[in-house]
Amino acid sequence: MPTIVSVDDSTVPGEGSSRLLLLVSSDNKHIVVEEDIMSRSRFISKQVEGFEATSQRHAILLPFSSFVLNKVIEYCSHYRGYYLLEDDPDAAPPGRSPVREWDQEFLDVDRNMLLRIIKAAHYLEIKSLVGSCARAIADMIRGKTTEEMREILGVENDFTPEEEHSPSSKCTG
Amino acid sequence: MAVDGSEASTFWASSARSRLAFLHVVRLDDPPEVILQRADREFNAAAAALLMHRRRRNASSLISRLPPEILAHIFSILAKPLPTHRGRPGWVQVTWVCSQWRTVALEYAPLWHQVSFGMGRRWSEAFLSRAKSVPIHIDIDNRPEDSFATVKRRNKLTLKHISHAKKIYYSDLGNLCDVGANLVREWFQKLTTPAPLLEDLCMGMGFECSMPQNLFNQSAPMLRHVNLVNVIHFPWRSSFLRNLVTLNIMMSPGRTEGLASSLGDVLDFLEQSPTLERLHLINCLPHMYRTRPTPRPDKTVLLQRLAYLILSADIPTVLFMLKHLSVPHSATIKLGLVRPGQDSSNVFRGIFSALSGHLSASPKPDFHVEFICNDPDEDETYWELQIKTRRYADGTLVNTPLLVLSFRTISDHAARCELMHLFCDALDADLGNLRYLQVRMHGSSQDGGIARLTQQDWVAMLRTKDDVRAVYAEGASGAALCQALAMFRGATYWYWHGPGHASVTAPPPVGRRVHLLPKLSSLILQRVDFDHLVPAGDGEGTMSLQASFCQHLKARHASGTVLETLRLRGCTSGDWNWLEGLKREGIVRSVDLLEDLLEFP
Repeated sequence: MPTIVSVDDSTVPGEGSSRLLLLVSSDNKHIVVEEDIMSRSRFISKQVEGFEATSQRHAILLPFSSFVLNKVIEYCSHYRGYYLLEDDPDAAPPGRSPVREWDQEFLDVDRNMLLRIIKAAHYLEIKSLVGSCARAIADMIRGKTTEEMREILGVENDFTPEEEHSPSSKCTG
Repeated sequence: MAVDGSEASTFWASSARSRLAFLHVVRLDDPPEVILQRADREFNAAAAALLMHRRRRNASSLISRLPPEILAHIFSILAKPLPTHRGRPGWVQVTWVCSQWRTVALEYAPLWHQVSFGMGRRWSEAFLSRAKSVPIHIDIDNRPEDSFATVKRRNKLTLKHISHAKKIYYSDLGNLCDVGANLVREWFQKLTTPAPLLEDLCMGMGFECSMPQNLFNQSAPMLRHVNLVNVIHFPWRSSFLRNLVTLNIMMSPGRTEGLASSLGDVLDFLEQSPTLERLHLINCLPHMYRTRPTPRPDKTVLLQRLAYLILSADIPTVLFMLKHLSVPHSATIKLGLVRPGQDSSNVFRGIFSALSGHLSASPKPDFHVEFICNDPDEDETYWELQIKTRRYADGTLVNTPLLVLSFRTISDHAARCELMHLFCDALDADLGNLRYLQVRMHGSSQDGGIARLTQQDWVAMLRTKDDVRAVYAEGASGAALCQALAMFRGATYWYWHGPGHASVTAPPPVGRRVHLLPKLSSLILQRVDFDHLVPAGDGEGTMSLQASFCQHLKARHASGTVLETLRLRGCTSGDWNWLEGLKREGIVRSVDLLEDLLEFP
């Protein structure tokens, strides 16, 4: 596991051989994490490139909670140094590979947490995590009826009667 | 501002109360129909408000707040595996969940790229329309229940989309009458527009179909995989099909028209197709005697990427092709030899000679010979002889280059035996490093079936091979095979199907006393009933197979022989305590008891 330190100020500690990043969550938690752990995130990588261009280092503000952020960091730590096909720009089409065993356990969280993780992963541009979450969500609703899908993902039937019975939509379900 | 439950209740119980009670619209002297009309208007307005409320609620739900591209990504995953040919694909349910999901799904064109025409006209049209201009997979499978009008409409619709087709799969097994076949032929002849995105073309026909001379206007630069069944007039001399990775042409046996004009054309084509990885030429090669001018004797076509080769033709033609083709030693080769005829004495030697380079690859693998006699029914009698070269690393199978010889139309029992002996002669001559022998017997006992093989047949066929260390026998023809197998004194691996196999036509070895090969260290028994009664050890009476088996293993153990591995698959026994006993006493080191039947090994 990486060293993840919560600090109360926005000072980035350490400028040694192992560079550290300061990530600030939406609930204003400051999390310090090694840069190469987060290198899987294209968003973070671009931010770091920006720092290097200006020779200044800033905290990276992120629009999701520390709880979600820590989950993402846990994922990135687990795959630190690994090549993942989905992170490759020329990756195989979605849905080819099943959810990896570790990912399956990692994503064994409640629905809302899963949705928050995928949103965070999308924001951070971590394709492999987006892919794993998407497959996990797809697995939740695969083979289910429309009603069951609504119940599982917490949405309501919001079609007008016309939309439900329009000829153009008869081929959609 | 969020309204909590109590505020909402208060609102509907106070401010909206009069509206709910129609107090502002209903007068006592109004006629009932007027009251109903007004009530309906109120109801519709309330429903619209409720709908708006639902949409706002949905918009706040976590799933709806995901970017549309993620939702589309989830839908794409649901859309795989590909829909079945018939019926509605299940993933389309997502378009009925809520308006946002429908919008996302309908606007994400790649989601609709797999167009299966078996789903019906409305579906296929909807898929094609929603796929817009993304590369599509066209999948047509004509069935007997399809009307001519349906087939005609499908074909017409398909032609409009060739320009953005990535895959075209067309299957018609010929269940329609000639009129239907002609519809398909006409459609095929119209495939003359460029197919710039096409990668995969698969035409599986139950009737003869001629390839158009100007297929795709000679322009299909992305085409890599071509699979053709009963399609004649392949453009061997054309240059536009030269980057193929897969070429599979299969035709019914006996065809002489519509083939390549000479084997030279075929070789020229292959020479200019170095990217080929799979090549199947089945009953589509002209006879070598028709090859004029004859290619240079030393002409060799190098197919260095080839991993799988199937050639099926008459023997001289196959030998001719083998002589001129050079394929990697790791490639799997399957040869179908049609009608060996009377002069088949040199068949095996010819084949082994042609493949000598392949079979003597360096580093030289152990050879594992699989001899399969198939006689599935009287209509199609054929034999298959397979020579497998398997490579093991630390005892684990890591690669299976394979040579399969398939002989067809041999129905005479004497001819079969003769062929077996020829085969064994060839083995003696050319496969001295044989390490694995697999004998699989299928077939009926009628009309010269396998069960008529005698012990002498088996012994002659299986010859003593001291260095054979693995023997596999399935559907054995009784004691004859059992005794023949005993010739393999050096075998350490013996696999044997017990009773229950559908093809067993005579009492199998299990009906005899148990006797394992002296050097046997690993044994797999499949579908053996250990409660079956066998002759007792003293020659009188009977005992259960389990008791006989244990007795034999214990005797071996006493003489210093340990069975390293015992695997039982799909076997039955009153209880399995005896198995634990064998392990506990060290008679068997490792026991693997499986209910299911796994592939060997």
